[in-house]
Amino acid sequence: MLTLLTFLAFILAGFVGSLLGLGGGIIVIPIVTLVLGVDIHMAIGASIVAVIATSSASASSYVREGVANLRLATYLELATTTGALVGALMASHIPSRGLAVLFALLLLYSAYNMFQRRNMELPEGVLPHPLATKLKLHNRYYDRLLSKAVDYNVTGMYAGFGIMELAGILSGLLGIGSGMLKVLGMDTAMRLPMKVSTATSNLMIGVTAAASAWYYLAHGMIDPRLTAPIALGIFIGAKIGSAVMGHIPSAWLRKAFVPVLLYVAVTMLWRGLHG
Amino acid sequence: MSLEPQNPEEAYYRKLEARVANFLWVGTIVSAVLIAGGLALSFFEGPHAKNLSPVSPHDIWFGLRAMHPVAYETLGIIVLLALPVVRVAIGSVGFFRRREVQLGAIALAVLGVMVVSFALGAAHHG
Repeated sequence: MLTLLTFLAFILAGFVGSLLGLGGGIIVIPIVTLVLGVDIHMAIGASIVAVIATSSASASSYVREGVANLRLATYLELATTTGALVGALMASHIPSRGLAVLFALLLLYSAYNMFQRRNMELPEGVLPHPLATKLKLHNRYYDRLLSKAVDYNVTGMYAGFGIMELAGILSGLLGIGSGMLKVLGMDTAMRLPMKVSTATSNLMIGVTAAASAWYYLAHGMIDPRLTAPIALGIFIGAKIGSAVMGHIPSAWLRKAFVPVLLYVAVTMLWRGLHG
Repeated sequence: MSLEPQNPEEAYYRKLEARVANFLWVGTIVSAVLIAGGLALSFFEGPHAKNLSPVSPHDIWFGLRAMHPVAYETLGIIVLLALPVVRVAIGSVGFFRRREVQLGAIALAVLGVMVVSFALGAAHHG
C-alpha cells in the first residue's frame, strides 16, 4: 500500500508545511484519498496528526532560533481555539458549499495581494500597536541570510485577532488546516516579517489541531497503521524545512506561497460549485 | 542562532523559549522513535495481528510488552498529540512565574478552550 514514492510525498508535505507555516494537509489528504484509496474521514484524522507533526518538529527549531514569536502565538491562539470551537458547533447549521466559495474568493484576493508584494524582503515603517507594546510582543530574530538581527514591531492587533478567529471558524467548519489564513493574517494585518509569520503559524497550528485530534483518536478515526508512516515522513521533511528556512530569502517564501494559495482557492471553488 | 539577551527580562524569556524548544525537540524524538520502532516491528509481524487497534491504556501496555507494532505506533501518536497541550502549559507557567498575569491567563484560557472542545466533541458525537 505504502510505496517509497508516497513516503517521499509525506516528506515533501513536511518540508513545504514547515517553510510556509501550513499543516501539509493539502498534500496529505489528496495522497491518502486518491493514491492510497482511504476513506475521507480517516484521511482527515491522518491530516490532523500530520499538522501536529509538522508543527512540533519545525517549531522546536523556530522557537529556539527566536523566529517564531511565542508570546504572539499565545495571544493569537486564544482566537484560533475559540474560533475552531465556534466553527465546529456551527458546522451542522451552515451550508459548507457556499462557505467554500467565499473562502476561495478570499484566497484569490490574498494571492493577488501577496503577488503584489512578492519582492518585499522585510516590512518597513510598522508602527507599534499599544496593546502589543503592553504585552511585549515586539521582538527580534537573527536572520542568517541577511547576517543581521531583524527588529520588528507588531501592529494590527485587533484585525489580526479577528482574522485568527475567522481562521479558527473556517478550520472548524471546512475541516481544513487554517495555517494559510494564519500566515496571511500575520503578514497582511499585523505586518510581521514573512519568516516570523510562517514560523509562528507553525507553532500555532499544532494547538488548533490538538483539540480535535484527541476527539478523533478517542473515536477510532486515527488509524495508527496509516498515520505512522505519514508522521515519520512529516518529521523528516519538517526538520529539513526548518533547517533550510534560515538560508533562503523571505521573498522566496512569499513567491512560493502565491501558487499554493491559488491551488487551494481553485480546490475550494470546485468543492463549492460541484459539492 | 539566537541573539544575546539585552536585559534580564529578555534573558528570562530566551530561557523560556529554550525550555519550550527543548521540550518539543525531545517530544518529537520520542514520538518518532516509537513510531519508527512500530514500523520496524511491523516488518516481522504475522498476518494475524494486522487489525488489532489498541486505544485503552491497558491494551497499549500489553501491546508494548508483546512487542506489537500498533501499540508502539499508537503510543508514538499519543505522545505527539500531547505535545501542543503541554507546550501551552509550559508557556503559561513561564509567564505566571515572571508575573506576566495577562499572557499567563491567556495561555490558561487556551488550555481551557482545548479541554472544552474535546469535551463538547465527545458530547456531540459520543
